[in-house]
Amino acid sequence: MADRKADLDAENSAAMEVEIEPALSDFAGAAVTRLGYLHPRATFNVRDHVIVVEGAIGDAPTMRRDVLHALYRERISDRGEDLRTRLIEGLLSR
Amino acid sequence: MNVWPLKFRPTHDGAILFADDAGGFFRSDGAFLDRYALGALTGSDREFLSANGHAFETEGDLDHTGFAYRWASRQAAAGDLAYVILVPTLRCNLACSYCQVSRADERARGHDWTEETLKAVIAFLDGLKTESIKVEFQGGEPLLRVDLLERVRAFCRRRFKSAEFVVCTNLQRLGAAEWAFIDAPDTFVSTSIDGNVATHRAQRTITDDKTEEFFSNLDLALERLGPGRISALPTIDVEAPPPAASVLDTYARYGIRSIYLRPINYQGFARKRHAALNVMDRWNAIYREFVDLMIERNAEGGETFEEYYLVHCLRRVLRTGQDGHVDLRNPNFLGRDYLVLDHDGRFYPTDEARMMTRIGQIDLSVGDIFSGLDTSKLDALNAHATNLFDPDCLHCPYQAFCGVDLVDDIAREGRIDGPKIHTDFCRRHTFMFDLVFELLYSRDPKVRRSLAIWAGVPDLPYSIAPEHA
Ligand code: SF4
Repeated sequence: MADRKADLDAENSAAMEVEIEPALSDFAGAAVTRLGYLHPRATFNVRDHVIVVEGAIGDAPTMRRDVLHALYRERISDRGEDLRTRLIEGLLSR
Repeated sequence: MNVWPLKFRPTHDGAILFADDAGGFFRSDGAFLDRYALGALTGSDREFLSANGHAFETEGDLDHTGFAYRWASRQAAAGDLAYVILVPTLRCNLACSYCQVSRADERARGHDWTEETLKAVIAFLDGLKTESIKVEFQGGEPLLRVDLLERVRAFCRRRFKSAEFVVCTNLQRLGAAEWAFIDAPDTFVSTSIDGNVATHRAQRTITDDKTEEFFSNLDLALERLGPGRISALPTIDVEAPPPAASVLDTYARYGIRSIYLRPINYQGFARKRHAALNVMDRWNAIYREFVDLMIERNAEGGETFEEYYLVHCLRRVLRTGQDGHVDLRNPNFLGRDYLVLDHDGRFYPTDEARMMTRIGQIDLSVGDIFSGLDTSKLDALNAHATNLFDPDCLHCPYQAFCGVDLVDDIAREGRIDGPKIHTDFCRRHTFMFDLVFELLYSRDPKVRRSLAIWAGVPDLPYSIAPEHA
């Protein structure tokens, strides 16, 4: 039990920052919301132009990639929303 | 140029798989992902995306219309109710270790359709709109009430233009009436062979006599019906799986080349206990071992093997309209084109729903044969029957090939509105589609031979799995 607590403390002491490209800044809020449930043992906060990750980071390059990919995904789905909506509406109105 | 949204996922070998909402896919690398996500596509990116159907110039042009057509073909259209699973009795003459909730003792009373229930079932079937019906008899052991099966079959043959029957039987005790029933050419047998003889005995038949009875009935059934009318599947105990080679050998001996591998479907407390043992990862490892062995054996020439569900997933990636498997389609509306009717006359949207209700986890019955379907309950469930707007699926490259299984979500997670990505269904299908794409992009000639066999083509061209540098 004590060992387990020590493990968690060690994980919890980890922190990292992932820079947010200007083109992605509008999507940081949505990305951290999603990252929060994808990685429930870590916390994600947007500060200035970075996303701060704390807690159970695990493999740092993988976490960095996951954060970047979350930002990308939010931007892609935002940019594609109009196309998707018009496609579905177009098909349903036939 | 407009690019349709591309979902992406890193692959096992460091590439990135991309797919659009209509199921068009390709592989590329992180540099392309950066360019695409940040709006900095090059001329050659644009050329590739356009040539591969991921883009269009103006709404309504040929590329746009083609994409719309492919997208629409990916949506499962639920037709009229034409597939019913009937449970005329819950009684069974075996007591398999993992089947306690779906059976009653052979001598128990009150677990069969009454005469009144049978009449209501026939009236219900008579009221269906379809002209073509598939009836699956399940149990318990349905052949214990071959008299009820005969009456349903006789009615369906008269009432419908085409009718097909499947009996899910343990092939245990077959007399003249049972043989006469399954001998009919419109009737198919579905049974279980739990891997090899030793495992089958341990999990199902227990005694030598019953084991011998099963395997000799199986021989006789194959002789009388031919392998085309018998299917069998093994139920694998993840904690004590039989060796893959012995399972393939056993199935080969009975001429059964399509094997649907399934882990034991534990219920209630047993499920919780097994969930803690990380069954999913162990199952995936066992599954992978089987698939690898099939690929090896298929490369040797001669008779070939396929894993039924893997081939189904592969076909869903390669073709549209592969919506025949009710556990994997999108949208997957419950209570529309198939229904389960239990021994007490209650309707269920799936067999899993019947199990959950039996163990008291949740009442998922949706009406009964006397008062009709409970449409309000079905509507509440069906509000979540599509993955199109799910916040996880929306970002997943497998969305167009994947589906929804609401009952499985309720059974395992206790709800249908939690993050999809944490569900068993999602984890299982992420594994399945990861495997499909790993195989599709493999250069190993053995893998390519198996893929061609499974896809039903003489040779699988590399162009089927596009790459963009
Ligand atoms: S359930 Fe999982 S694998 Fe299937 S589309 Fe959704 S996110 Fe992807």
